[in-house]
Amino acid sequence: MPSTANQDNQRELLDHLSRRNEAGMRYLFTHYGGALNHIICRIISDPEVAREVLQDVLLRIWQHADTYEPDKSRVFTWMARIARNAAIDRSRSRAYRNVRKTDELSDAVVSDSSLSERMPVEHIGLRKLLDGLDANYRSIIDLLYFKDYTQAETAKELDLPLGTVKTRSRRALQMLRELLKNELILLLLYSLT
Amino acid sequence: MDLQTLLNSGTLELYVLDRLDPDERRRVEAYAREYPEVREEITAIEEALEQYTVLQGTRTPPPPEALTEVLSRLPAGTPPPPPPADSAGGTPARPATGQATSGSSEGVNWIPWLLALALGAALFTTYYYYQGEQDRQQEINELRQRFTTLEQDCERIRDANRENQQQLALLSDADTRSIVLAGTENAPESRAVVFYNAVAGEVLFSAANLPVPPAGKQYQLWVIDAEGPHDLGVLARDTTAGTLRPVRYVPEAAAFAITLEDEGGQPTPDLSQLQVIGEVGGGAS
Repeated sequence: MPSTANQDNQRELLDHLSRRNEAGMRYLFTHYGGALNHIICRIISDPEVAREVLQDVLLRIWQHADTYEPDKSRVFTWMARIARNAAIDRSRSRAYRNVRKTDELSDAVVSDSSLSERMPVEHIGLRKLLDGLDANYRSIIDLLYFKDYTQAETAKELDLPLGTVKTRSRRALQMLRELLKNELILLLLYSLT
Repeated sequence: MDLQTLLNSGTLELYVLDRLDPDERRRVEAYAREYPEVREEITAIEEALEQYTVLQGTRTPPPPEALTEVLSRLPAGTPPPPPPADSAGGTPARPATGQATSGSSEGVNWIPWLLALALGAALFTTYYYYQGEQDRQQEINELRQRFTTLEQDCERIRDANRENQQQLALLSDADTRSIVLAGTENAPESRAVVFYNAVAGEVLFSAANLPVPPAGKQYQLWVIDAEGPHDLGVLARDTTAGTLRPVRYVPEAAAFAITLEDEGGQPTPDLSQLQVIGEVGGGAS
């Protein structure tokens, strides 16, 4: 059921985007604005700049929907990549580099581990999910997916041998998938309330 | 690389995370084209990360102004559609007002549908159970009727059985004598049997072979003692052979006879119409 629901979402999104109208943008914004914003905010800490980047990303997706290749990836993966690359580009173009990177990382990891305590009730589903996901696994996903960290940088940051980054990613994703599978119905219910 | 090793290595995860060098990435893509299971695994990883990110995104709803801004920057030439019915916004210039959206407002949009669905389900269930109830009620009535019929049958059979047993007891009683009523000249083929028990004071009659009487006529049974013939009643026109019928006991009976009389019977027998006759005999009863 989860994958079917996702398939349908994906089809609906593509449908909207292909019409290239205002409703398509609204749909994109409503359903994926939060997720894209999350990706951007993990890299850009300044809310104003993050908002600019988000707007650019939304427009870019809307305008270049025809360049999406369905046989290569899911549409969200494509959009997430656009968002992350845009955020990274922006962070590099300014004085974000070096200093920022380490600061943000510790911010991110630390703040994430304390998320459980300060998350409002409506995110209880997410909280359950994050609680279930071991902190080590969570940080490897965060570093590789939301941050611009290479395998080597990740290994260094997490104090892992380079060779284990891959297998650790595998285990992290396996655990995430398992948790999502179990919690999805619950999460959906929470998200509806 | 062995397929299973590839699936378990974490390479596909890093591929989706976009953390492979170009050579490795091309290799994975080649595998994905060739092996559907690789493609499926990649999709599953993508879906997991997608759900994870969308969930995380519920905490970081984009500012509603961002949508207003973006809509105003959409290239002209694509005619804006009429505002959607559920949009609370007034003018197309500020369509995002009231639609400051996040996961929660998406939920609100779903609620009427869910309610409608629940109502539909409830109605259907009620109808379904109502129908079922009707069917069951009818079934119960039918079963009740059948039960009553069976009960009556049972009672009838019990009575018949009791009667049969009594008759059997009489027939197998040592004091019972069986008297064959043999055909006279009027009806040489006719036969009947009387079981006579002077001790118990009971008599059974059975028509062994009596032809159907002519129209307007009926067989009448008589017992003859020292005082003459006594009426024992007429036989139903459809009397069948083998059916035992209890008749009135008359002590000191000398003989039993059957005459053919007008329908309804006569107080005295018409001996010219004598059909069968049998003597009780002189032996001790």
